[in-house]
Amino acid sequence: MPIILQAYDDKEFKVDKQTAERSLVLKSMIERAGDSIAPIPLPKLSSLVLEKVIMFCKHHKADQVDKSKDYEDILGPRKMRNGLIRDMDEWDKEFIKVDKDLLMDIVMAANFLDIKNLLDIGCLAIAYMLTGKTPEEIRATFGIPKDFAPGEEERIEQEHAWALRP
Amino acid sequence: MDEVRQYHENRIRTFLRQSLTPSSDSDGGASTDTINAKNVVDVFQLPELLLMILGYLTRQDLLQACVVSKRWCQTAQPLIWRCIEGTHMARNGVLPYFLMRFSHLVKTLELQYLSEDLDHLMGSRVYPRLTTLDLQNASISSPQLASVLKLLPRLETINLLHCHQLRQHPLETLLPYSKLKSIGFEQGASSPPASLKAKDAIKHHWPQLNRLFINVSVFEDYTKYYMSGGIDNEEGYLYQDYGDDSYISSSNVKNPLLSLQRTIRASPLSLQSIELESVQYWDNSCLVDIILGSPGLERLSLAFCYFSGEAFTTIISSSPTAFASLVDLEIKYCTRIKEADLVPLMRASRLRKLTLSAFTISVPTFERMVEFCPDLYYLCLNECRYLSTGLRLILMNCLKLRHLRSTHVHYKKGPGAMKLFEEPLWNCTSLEELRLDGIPLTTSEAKDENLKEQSIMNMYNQLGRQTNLRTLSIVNMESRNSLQGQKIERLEALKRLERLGLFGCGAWKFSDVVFIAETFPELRKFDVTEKDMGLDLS
Repeated sequence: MPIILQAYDDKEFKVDKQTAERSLVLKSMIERAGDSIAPIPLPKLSSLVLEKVIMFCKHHKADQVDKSKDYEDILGPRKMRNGLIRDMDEWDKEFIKVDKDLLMDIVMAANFLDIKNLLDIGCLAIAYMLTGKTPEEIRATFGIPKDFAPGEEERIEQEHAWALRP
Repeated sequence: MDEVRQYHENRIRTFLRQSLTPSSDSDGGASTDTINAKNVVDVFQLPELLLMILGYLTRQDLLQACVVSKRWCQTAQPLIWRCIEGTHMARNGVLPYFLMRFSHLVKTLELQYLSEDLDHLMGSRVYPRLTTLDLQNASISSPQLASVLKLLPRLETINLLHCHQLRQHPLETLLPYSKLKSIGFEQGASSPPASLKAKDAIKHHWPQLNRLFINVSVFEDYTKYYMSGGIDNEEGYLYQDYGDDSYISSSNVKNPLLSLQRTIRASPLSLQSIELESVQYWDNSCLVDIILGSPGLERLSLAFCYFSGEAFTTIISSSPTAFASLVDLEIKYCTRIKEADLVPLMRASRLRKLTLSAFTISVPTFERMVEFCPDLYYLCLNECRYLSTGLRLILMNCLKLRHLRSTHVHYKKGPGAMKLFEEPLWNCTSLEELRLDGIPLTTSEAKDENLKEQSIMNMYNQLGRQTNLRTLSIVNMESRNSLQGQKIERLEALKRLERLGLFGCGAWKFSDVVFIAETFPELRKFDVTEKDMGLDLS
């Protein structure tokens, strides 16, 4: 039985159960409601975002949970940080190549619907956008106000100057 | 898990309730831009999301993130200070001051080869979150160590290997720290405290201890003897070469090493990981006791030890499940452990990571390896003798293999040497790292130039399918002959390559280098020797 998801512009998306269950939030709703599940309104999500999210879940619907876990147990955690971008699947890499605003919406949606993998690659993609940028560039790109007291910025820079040396 | 679900359910319910009020519906479609703009701020305003994002950054980028805004600074600072490496110390005298100031954020402190004054460096502030302290090769004295330990209430892991200036036995200094889970130390001239010789004393003092790494520095010269003899010596030569036993002999009960043996044997240790380095003159039965006392053993590493392989047989016969949880095995330069001893060990465990040094491995042993370790993902054979048909068996059967390292292959002469890359294609395509140092791709027997070319072609055919490779390093021993150019274009699909080195596989042409630069976006290191660089660089 297909599950119906409604975006905030009332557009409806039919998805199969396995796809919807990539979202732990939807999964628990489906489990509670059983077979007689009504269309699920997702008023925070535009149809554009919802479509992307469904695309991701569909592609990953047969994934096994935590497939790399036991590998890490023995070798120690994989080199995190920048190394992870290389670990990303080609499909995921293509999938997440979207403009900044859509990326932010996808991350919010992934967080809201609790889709761990999507949240991971979304955050990674945002982190990737931050690399190599100066603080001014970061503030300008994401519209973040600078809220330091006078002199505070210099103090913080000074405190961490040691780490800048190669 | 239920809590997480509960949390998200509550959240979605709140969201639904809010969104069903009429006001939010009315102007929805018109203002996509403002919604997007709002989300941008939202993402960075949720602390858990900001932490996740910044967690992916390198230290350099975290420093930039720190001065974006107050909230970013709060999130980034703990990430910057989480793990501090000694290299930072050596270069900047100002650090000690800041280290004290941010001592509350540091979780891991790696101070290998530290030559400064440890007291001065760490100051007198408590490090409330510090769990890991690595002092390998550091010049520290016992009093310094003792005073620093007082600042570390949460310490779980400590590495004191090669700290030659510790006069007091490391276990004695560590006695008051009952939360330790992992201890690495070097047995020097001092004996372990007498109180530890009592039954169950170790478990009593460190109830959570699950990893022990013991190195015996007294025998540092040992490697010299070992190397001078080569790996082919007859069993027992170590004893003979080390004829000057007056310092250590089993009759001398004051001997610190034997005293440590008694301490270790006093009771079952229930360890998950045991690493013993340069441990000689301990009875075989000591190894038996240690392992039988650790039924959940996951990692066993023996390097330059003088235990014999019979220990394994004894262990398995008295407890068939003794190695049931063993996944990681390392046996390096233990001349009294033979190839035949490995088979029962492989059968009794479920190895996934295997490191062997100085073994001769025959094809039947490789067959057993394939049979008993199908899930192997890491295999390292250093200075081992084997036929490449054996390695080929691994690549045909161990489908999960990700890391394969082999250095200084001493191969037996014969047709087997070129078999590794021959068709049919390997079944394993998950390799991330392949290092074959000293493998003869073109044997000296192969006089026929065409045959040599063919074997290089075979190599490229096999490698071209390993699309997960990040590190590829092949050193052909028989490279004096003039091979034609590289066939690098066959590796076009290896998009993840980070490190590439192909020595003695043919000369690099200018066009090859251009191809490499254009084809592998992640490549950071291209190892090349002058000899392999073709003359035609125009």
